[in-house]
Amino acid sequence: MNGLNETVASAQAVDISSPSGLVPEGLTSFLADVYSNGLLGLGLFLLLLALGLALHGLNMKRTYERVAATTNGGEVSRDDLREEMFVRQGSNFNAAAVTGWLLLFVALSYFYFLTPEIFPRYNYYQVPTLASGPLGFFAFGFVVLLLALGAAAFVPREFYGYYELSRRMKVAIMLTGPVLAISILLSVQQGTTFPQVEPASRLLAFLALFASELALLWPIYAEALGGMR
Amino acid sequence: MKLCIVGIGGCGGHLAERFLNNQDISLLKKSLGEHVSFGGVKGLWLEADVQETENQDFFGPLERGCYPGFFVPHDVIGSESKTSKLIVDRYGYDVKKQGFMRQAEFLKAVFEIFESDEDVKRTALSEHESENPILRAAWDRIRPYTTLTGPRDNNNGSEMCDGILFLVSLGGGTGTGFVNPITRYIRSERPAYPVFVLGVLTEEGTDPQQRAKEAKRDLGATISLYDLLTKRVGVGVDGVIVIDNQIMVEKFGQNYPAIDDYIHQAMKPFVAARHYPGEDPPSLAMREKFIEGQGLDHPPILVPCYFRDRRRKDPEENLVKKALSEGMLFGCDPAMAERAYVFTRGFVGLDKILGAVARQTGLAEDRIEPWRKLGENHADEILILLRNPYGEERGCEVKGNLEYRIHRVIRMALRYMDDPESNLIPDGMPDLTKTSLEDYFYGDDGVRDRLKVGLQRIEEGKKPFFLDERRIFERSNLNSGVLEPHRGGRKVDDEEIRRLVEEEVKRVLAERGL
Repeated sequence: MNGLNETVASAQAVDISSPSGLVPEGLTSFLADVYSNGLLGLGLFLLLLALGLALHGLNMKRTYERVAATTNGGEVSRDDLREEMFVRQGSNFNAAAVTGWLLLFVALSYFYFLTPEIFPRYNYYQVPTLASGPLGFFAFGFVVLLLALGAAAFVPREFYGYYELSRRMKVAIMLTGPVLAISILLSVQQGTTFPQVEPASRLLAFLALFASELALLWPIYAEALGGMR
Repeated sequence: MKLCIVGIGGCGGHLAERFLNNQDISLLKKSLGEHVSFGGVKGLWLEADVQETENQDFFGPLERGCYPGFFVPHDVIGSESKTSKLIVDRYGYDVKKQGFMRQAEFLKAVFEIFESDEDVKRTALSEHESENPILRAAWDRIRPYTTLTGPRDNNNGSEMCDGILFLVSLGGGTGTGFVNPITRYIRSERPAYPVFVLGVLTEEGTDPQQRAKEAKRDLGATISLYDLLTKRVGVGVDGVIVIDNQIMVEKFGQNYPAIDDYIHQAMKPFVAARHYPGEDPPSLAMREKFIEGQGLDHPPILVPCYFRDRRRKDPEENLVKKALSEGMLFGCDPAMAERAYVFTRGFVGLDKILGAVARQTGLAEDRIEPWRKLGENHADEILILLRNPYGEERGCEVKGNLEYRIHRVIRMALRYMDDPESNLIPDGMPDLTKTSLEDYFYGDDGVRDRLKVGLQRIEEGKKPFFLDERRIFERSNLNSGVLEPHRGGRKVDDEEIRRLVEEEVKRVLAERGL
């Protein structure tokens, strides 16, 4: 069945790369290769995440070093600096950011682990009680939500609190919520119609997932990029 | 330091909107969470013209619990008020008049009446439980945002303000007329509470926003500046930050929203949070720095000089140089400054910034006070407030100097006073008012004479150029002669002030582990 799915996916990928398609042919086939390769996609997702974490640490270290370098004696309390650096971003933003991060993990799980297409041995259909239950999809997402809750709740305070975020950036982060919801809905649609595969919506779900991840991590990347100048 | 931003009048409202803009995101302009302003500032808008409040949707009525809110102070006086009737009958002033006719002397007169006429005081006290209900109501709306009502931290991470920054237009109506009485009112209750004014002097020629001739606006500006600058230190404000809209218009044309944005941007280093560790003084300590030094009897003029540049290595010299050349928001000669207060955002070295300012201004380093904060968006910023940067003999003849601009404003004000069409003493007013206005404007030692003395002092390079306060009704028979602290609020004796100051100092020292 997996072979059949890959064949269908390839055929559909060619369809959307036609002149009237959404994206150029080369890019489409590249993206199709990436999203249909589970290990590559997951690796990329984790790489972006790990890079974000590492750059956040680097940003904090760099700020400390610059403050210390411009302070007489060079002695600065890290705790005092963290306290001073902290900016209240607003509860609407914090709620939107937590939602965005929660949905990011749910969207990732739905994209890669809902149907057997990408990971035939590790997916929702391997748990018969869940897959045959009337609220199976929901339960699957809810479990992921609970697992991700701890990490997501920690993000606004530990990440965004230390950056001066423009309103535009905040809006971009807020918009990850609806964008990820679209990704989830498209994945759910795939799960509902499986084994039939709709490559265009698969591609869209993939793009929504990774664009959102980039948007959620962008303040950290932007600070790191600016700091390199 | 955390400031309560109080915009007064139209210009003040537009500026306050920039300062109080919510940094949080909202859906359909509705924010479900707490309002978060840049630097954690809080504040409100005081406006006399109800129509102005209806032509905007940023501020909501404070009475309905809106934040940010506006308040129309004279609304506390009812239409059937005995106080209002007494003032109309005796003085001819309608305290409920909308917009106060864009005349600074109107509000000056109204509030002097409340301060000096015993009958008005008594009537107001019996009717409104305050001798000066308009100012009392305004102050009651400002006070809840300050540390005067409670602890600095309200336990939800939001700090209360330990100082006030009034935003006004110098030359408009409400802002120009209201800022002095409200400051005097606050001072009579809280002598040591830090209060600053940011005044925007309206541009030369026609100003489409103010819809008033330059000379008329300049008379308003002159009266307001005169009253602000002739109070004794500790009685008046702690500093008047002046911005010349002429410079802004030359930079941005008549794009007033862009001007407001720029003024806010320039003041960001002043109001921003994110201090360098250990460099966050409470406003009380900063206030002491602004008024310290021998010979400073009157509130200082502070000229802001601002520059922003992308982050680079060793930015100090360039930042200071650019701020003092192309970044002045009011023309002046930096070499004439008595002191410099330097606010930076970004990574700047303390010694380097001191050295750079000292080299560029000629000031000794012990006359330069730097406060550093962390920056944003990979940029370094500097705001230098130059204290009293004037005093050169014949400096008024040098275009670009502070003396030159102020000299012109005073001359225009005098010209307006001498213009028969100005009608500064309106027909139909009671004799008491006419006589008092005549005496105030044109009498012996009246404003006209004092402004001429001011011009002469500017030409001779003397500081300050305005000397003694002048009141409209100070020679009227009804004047009690002494401006007493207001009643109706709680009167505070010297002992209590001493105790409050000691407690505040102890708290600050404890906070700093000293």
